Amino acid sequence: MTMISDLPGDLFEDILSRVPAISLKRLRSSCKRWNRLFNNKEFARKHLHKAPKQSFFLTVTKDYYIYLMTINHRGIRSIQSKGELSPIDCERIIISEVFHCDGLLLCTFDNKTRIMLWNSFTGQTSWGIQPFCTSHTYALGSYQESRYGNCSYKILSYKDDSVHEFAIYEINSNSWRILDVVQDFRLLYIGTYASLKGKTYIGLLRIVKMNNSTCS
Amino acid sequence: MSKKMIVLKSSEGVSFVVEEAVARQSKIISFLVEEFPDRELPLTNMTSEILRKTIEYCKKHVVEDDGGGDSSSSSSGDLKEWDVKFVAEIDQPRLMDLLMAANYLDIPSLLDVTCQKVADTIAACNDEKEIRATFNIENDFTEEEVEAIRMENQYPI
Repeated sequence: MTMISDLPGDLFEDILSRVPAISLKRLRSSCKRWNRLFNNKEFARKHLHKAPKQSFFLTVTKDYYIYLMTINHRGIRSIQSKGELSPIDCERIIISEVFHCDGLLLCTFDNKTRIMLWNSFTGQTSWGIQPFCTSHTYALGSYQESRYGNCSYKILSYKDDSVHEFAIYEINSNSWRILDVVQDFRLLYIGTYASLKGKTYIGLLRIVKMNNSTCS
Repeated sequence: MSKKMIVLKSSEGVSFVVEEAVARQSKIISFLVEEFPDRELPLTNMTSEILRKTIEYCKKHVVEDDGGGDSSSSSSGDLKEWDVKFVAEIDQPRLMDLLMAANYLDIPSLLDVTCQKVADTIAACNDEKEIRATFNIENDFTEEEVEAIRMENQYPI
C-alpha cells in the first residue's frame, strides 16, 4: 500500500501545489516534511502558478449587512459559487465606510463612532480600536516587519478639511500617533481609496501647493 | 479488421488481455510493445486490482480511430464527469496506489486526475489531526513546535 510519505518529492509537490492557499496554511503542522515544503520559496512559486485562484466578493445588502461570497475557479468549465456565508455577527448598525486590504475589512459604523476589523478568511472580528476622530476617513495598509518578516497592519486616519490631519494606528501597539506632516499642500476632491499589495492609493483630482500653483 | 491484443501480467501473475491501442496510452507500455512485440509484459509492482482499474481508465480514454468519425468518442465534458466519478469511487489507500501506477506507467491524464483527487481530499481536511488520520501521517512535531507554527500562522487580528 502506498503512503503519502512514499511519494517521490516531485509528485508530492505537484499534489500540494494544487491545494488552495487557505487550506495549506492550516496544514503546516501536519509533519515536518510538509512544513519544510511550505517554507520553500521554489514551492511557493510553483503553488502560485498552479493552485486554484480564490476570489472573494463582498456585497452589502439593502439592509446594511455585509456578505462574503467565494468563487472557486477550477478549470474553464466549472465556476461555482459557494453562495453567501454568514454575515458579520453584530446588531443592526449603519455602515459608514468599508475599506479592504489583503482580505481584511476595515468598517466604520454609526457615523464613524466605531471601528471594526474583519478578517474575511477566518471570520474573526475585532472591535478594540477607538476611532481617532469622527470626522476622519480611515484606510488600511500592510508592511513587512523587518525583524520577523511577518506582515503587520497600520490604519491611516485622515481628515479632509481646510487643514489636513493625519494619524497612524499600529495594530500591534494599539495606539494612535499623529503624523507630523509639513502642511504646504492641499488635497482637492478626494475620490476612491484603493489597496494594492498593502499600499493604499488615494484618487485625487488635484494637489494644490499652498502658494496656489497646481502640482498634479 | 481484428484488433491487435497484448497481454499485461499483474504482480499476482494474473494475465489481462488488452487491445494495444488501449494499453498504448501508457508511454512505458507503448515503448515496451515496440521493443518486445508478441511478449506478455510483466508489471510486477502492480496488483491485479490496480491494473484492472488502470485498464478501465485507459479503455474509457482510448481515442477510437476506426469508427471514422467523432460520433463514437465521448465529449470532453462527459469524459471529465466520468473521471470525477471514477476517482470518487476509489478509497484513499487504493487511490494512492493508482496514482503511483499512473506515474510508473506514465499515463499523464490519469496521473492528473488522481493527483487532483488527493489535493481535493487534503483541502477538505479541517485541521492537522484530520489530515494525519486520513493519510496515516506520523506526527513528528513536539507540542512546542506545533504551538510555534500556530503563532507564526496567526492573522494580525
